Amino acid sequence: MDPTTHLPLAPRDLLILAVLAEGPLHGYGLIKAVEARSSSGVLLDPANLYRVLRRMRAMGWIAEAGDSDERRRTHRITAAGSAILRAELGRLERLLAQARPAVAGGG
Amino acid sequence: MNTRTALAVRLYRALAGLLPPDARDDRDAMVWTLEALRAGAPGSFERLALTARCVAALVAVLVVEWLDFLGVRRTSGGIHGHGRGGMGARNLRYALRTLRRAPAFSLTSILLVAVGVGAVTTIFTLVDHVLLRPLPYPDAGRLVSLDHGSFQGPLFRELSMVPGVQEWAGAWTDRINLVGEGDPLRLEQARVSENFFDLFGGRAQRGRLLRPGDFASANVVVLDAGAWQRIFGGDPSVIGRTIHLDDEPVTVVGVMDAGFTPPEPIVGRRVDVWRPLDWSVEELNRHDTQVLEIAGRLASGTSVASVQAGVDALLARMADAYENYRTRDGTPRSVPVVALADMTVRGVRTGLGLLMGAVSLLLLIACANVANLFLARGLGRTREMAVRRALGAGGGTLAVQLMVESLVVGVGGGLLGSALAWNGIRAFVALNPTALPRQASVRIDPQVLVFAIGVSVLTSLVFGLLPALRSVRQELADELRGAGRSATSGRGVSLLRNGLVAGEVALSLVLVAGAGLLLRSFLAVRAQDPGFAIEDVWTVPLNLPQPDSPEEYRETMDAVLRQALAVPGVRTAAYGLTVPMDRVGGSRCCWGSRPKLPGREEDRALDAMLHPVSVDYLETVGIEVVAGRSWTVAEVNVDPMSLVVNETLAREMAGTPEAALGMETEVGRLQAVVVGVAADNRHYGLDQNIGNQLYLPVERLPFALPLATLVVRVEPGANASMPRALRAAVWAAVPSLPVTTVRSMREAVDASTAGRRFESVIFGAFAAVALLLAAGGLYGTLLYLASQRRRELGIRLALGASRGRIEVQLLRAGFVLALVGIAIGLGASWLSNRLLESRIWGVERSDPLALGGAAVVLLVTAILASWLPARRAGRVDPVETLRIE
Repeated sequence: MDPTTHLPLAPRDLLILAVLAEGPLHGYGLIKAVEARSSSGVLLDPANLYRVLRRMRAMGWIAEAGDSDERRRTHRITAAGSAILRAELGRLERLLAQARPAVAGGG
Repeated sequence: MNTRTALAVRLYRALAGLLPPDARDDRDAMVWTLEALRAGAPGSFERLALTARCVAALVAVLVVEWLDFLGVRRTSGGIHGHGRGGMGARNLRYALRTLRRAPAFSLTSILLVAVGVGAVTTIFTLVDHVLLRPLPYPDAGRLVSLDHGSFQGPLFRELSMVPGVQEWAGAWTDRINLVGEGDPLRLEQARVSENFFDLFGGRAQRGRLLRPGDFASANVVVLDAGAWQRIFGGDPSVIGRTIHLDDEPVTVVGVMDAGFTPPEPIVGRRVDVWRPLDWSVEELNRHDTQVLEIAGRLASGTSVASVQAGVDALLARMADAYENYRTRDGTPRSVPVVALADMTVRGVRTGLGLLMGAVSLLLLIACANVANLFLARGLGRTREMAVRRALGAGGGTLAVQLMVESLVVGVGGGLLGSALAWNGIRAFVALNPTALPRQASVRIDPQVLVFAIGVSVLTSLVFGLLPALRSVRQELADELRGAGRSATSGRGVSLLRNGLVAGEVALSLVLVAGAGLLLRSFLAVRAQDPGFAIEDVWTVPLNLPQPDSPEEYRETMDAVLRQALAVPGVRTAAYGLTVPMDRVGGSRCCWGSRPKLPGREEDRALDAMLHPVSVDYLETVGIEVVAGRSWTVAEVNVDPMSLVVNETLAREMAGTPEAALGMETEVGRLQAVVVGVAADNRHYGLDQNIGNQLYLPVERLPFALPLATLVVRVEPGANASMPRALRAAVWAAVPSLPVTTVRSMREAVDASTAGRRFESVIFGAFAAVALLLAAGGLYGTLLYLASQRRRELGIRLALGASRGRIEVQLLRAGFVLALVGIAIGLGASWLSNRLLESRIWGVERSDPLALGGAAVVLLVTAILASWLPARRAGRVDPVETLRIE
């Protein structure tokens, strides 16, 4: 699978993958971690979060962690998910590298 | 707070349950996450905001998930579809974005829909559970009951001859005292025939129900589940034990299933003990004693009419054989065969129907308001629409988009409305003083949720369709041309908007006038002179263990009287078979009589209610003696018996109260003479007819009674101690006598009008909401009118028109709209108040005060609602307005 077909990622999805890359988490932990990271205020609610998680599961980017129980579903990132995350970060870095000199020059 | 938080989470859980199957697995995790988030919120406001946000997001996700599930939208390509989705999802996303950009508009619309849907759903839930659902019995559709009172035992036995009926069951209900289990208790007892539990599908929770063998000895009892818990704390060892009911030892053989609902028309709402009908009891074998309530199940395929014919034929035969089955004019007694379901809800059908009508009006008003909002918003977006059409969007596409917007508002409002209904239904059941039949089973369930959503979708179609159609029909060129200047609405639209506002005013007037009529009835009832004392009078209904003789009854009651008189603060004490407000409403306890007058034909005999009372009764209850006097202790046993008649009866007998004194008559089989005339009083309720009433010495009753009500008149300062002191007094006289209630006459009178008060309060609440909605509609319309004509007003002001003039002009516009609405509303309410006829008392349905008052209320509301926009129009700064243009 070529990860680039799925790019660009929405900021919310990027943040979720980034948070999961550091270790498995359940829904509440994910919401808290995402909120803590995005001072610009990516607000997550359970309904949208689990909707995104369902999609990511279906795409094979994440999977349920082994010790997951019904009430506190815990997810971990898969190899495919890591690939997507790396691809998106790379894309953003290239983008930044191209944009930064322009801003610096114009300012 | 705790219950509300729980409620929010429950609502969230219920909503999450509506997710499509593939997403529902996450429900528990979602709810758990929400709970964790809520627990982490720093304050209650943050918690509320968080919850609201999460619920709103869930609603949006719900819609999108279902679209995915139904394949409307294909999203396998990405996590979120960057416009790659199908039509439905794209429209939805667009609608959500548009609505989010106009939060005031969206919130107002959603709230309006929620109010309407919430009110309708609340009342519909009641209607559904109380009126529409089949009774909880096997083959409930085929259950019938005999109407018009109770029946004789011998008639019940003959009923098996009526063809077309599978089985009949009868029940004899009364009250009985349980002694020897702590404080004496008064229990509701039902003695039922053998096949009663077959007919109604009763099951035993423990032990067994009644067996055929039980009916021979009749010394067993089955406890109701509630009574078992209440009295015996759910102790299973009570089965097999012997308990004492009115001194009679009976063995407990089982406990009824907790889910069993007693058939109300047959045994009443509550039954504590079920016992076999003892056919050896004399009353059950007499032709002149009517004790049984009867129900039956039709054979399948039999019509009620054919059974009615069979019952009529049987009654005709009985009437030929026995006098007791004939009416006064000699014809057989008429006994309608009625579906049990109809009989159960007969008393509440019109009331609930009325409420349903009221909330439907409310929903209509809310709809009109939202439609108006959408129209106004549509006008504000003409430029947007024109540009989009110029860029190639078809009229149909735009209309669909607008419809999706209104659908989103409708569904959002519907969900919020369901939450309102959830609370509303509890509040209604808790506050309603007149218990509804089957109300224990009333709750919000998925079916009702479906109803609420259905109503909202329908509602949104109604209010969304007009604006959407308009956007399709609009000429593109006109819009683009108009877009350069401030858009003015076409004639058709303003007519429509005005019509909607006038309609709102009219509908509100119907509700306000209805509330006014109910309030006037309530006040009229309260203003009635009861004819007896309300303050400082206390009553204690007693249920004596079946006394063996009239003497025993009298001795017991005399002992109670002596103890009551010894209570400090009690001035006088008396007792009667019943006292005022004891039996409120239609049921007239306990006997009527036709006192015979010399010189009058039998057929002109007078119907009167008999009140057997003790010596000081009239004085104690505070009924004035307007002529003659009451009897004394010495006269109790003197013949002819002393009688006191009420004023109505005295006038009927002799023309004036004075002329009735000394008249001789015959009551029952006793010769009697009228010694006094009592002032008329409303014994059976403030809104009941006075009728002919007759007081006679209780000592002269030739048979023993199981009932009496003690009544005392106390010093004004002694009221506080009465409940406890009177209870103690009764127990000092008869230790085993249960005292269920000690009630002041004030309480009794208040309770008797509580139903009317509730009705007028709830109607008043609906009317107030309707007024608010109509005022909002008017306000919005005029505000919009003013902002549309800003340019014109600015120019006129610049040219020297006075601000006052402009204000008056706008006020007049609102005034005219209101007047048109009021005129229509007056007509509508004159027609629709016919439906209120059975609920109002002491006022005409065309009561000018109620109708006129409603008109004035609406007019004042309309002026207030127009005044603010008018002032705002008058404040327009001409320079600034023209500069904008």
